[in-house]
Amino acid sequence: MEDKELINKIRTDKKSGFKILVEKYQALVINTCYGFVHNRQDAEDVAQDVFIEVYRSIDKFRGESKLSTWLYRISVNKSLNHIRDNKKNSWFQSLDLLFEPEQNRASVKEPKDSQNNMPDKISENTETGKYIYQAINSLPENQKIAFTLSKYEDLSYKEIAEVMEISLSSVESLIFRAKKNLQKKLINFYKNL
Amino acid sequence: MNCKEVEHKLIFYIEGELDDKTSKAITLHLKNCQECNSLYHQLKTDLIFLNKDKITDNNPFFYNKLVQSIENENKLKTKNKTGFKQVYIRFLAYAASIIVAIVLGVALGRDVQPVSNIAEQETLDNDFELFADSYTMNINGEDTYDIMITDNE
Repeated sequence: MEDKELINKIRTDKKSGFKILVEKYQALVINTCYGFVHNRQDAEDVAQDVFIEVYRSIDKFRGESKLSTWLYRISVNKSLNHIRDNKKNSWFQSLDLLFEPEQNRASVKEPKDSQNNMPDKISENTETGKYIYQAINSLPENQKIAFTLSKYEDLSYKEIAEVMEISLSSVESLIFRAKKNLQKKLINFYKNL
Repeated sequence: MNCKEVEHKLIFYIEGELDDKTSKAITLHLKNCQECNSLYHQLKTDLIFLNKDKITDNNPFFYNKLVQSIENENKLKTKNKTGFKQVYIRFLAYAASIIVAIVLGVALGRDVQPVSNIAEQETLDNDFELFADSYTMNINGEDTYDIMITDNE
């Protein structure tokens, strides 16, 4: 079903139209979120938030951009918020650890940080992926968005420019700098192994 | 090409983004430099991993879970709305009872002289009595003097 038809369907019959939208775009949204959070369970949780937001605001979607572009934008924003919230939580948890009496420490939960919560295949596959995830997470936000959309969703520079609402040359520059930074960070990791 | 230059271009070499001349120079360097060759293989392994690291399959329970989440959110919203209404109604009831009390108080108190006014009146009466007492010399009696004003001429 074409996007325009899908939007019209949602306007006439929200429930069944929304179901078609979720089936059509589920993989796109989950994979985009996964590119940022690097954990399938977290990616699915963030994707749930993305679709709830879509359900609430689909009536406001005017169709000026492609539906997929709109979904990418929401997915990126929700994923970055999720990462920020986790950082805050892990900061508070480390504060708790600092003030918690030693005998109570065993009950403190592990911070739900994507870096500490790697997918099963990574733990099986020794350290592969660990360094590259860390390196991607440490990139400046715009570089991270451009690089992730390019690597995980194979989006063209033009599509990334539409999602990020920046110029094509800015996307080229962001991805170039992201690769340079990744290379530098990874080579430092390898040298210190 | 030296090791530093190779390190700076390794990611672009792996991704095939360099011109032929630079690419050949790096290939040659990697053949002769064990250290750079090792870095090249590690970086290549990580980039290959990243290219394969994708979620392409759908979770069959995803939609049902989503519908459940939306219903839970709606229930929570309705609950919050009802809670807000209850608080709002309670506030209005308190405000109305205070206003009624004030109005009743004013209406009942309109004809009653305030206690403080009675006390004030009593104090004033006492003052007048004292004032009058101080002029008792003018009372006809023992030490009273009649003042006569006469015209001498």
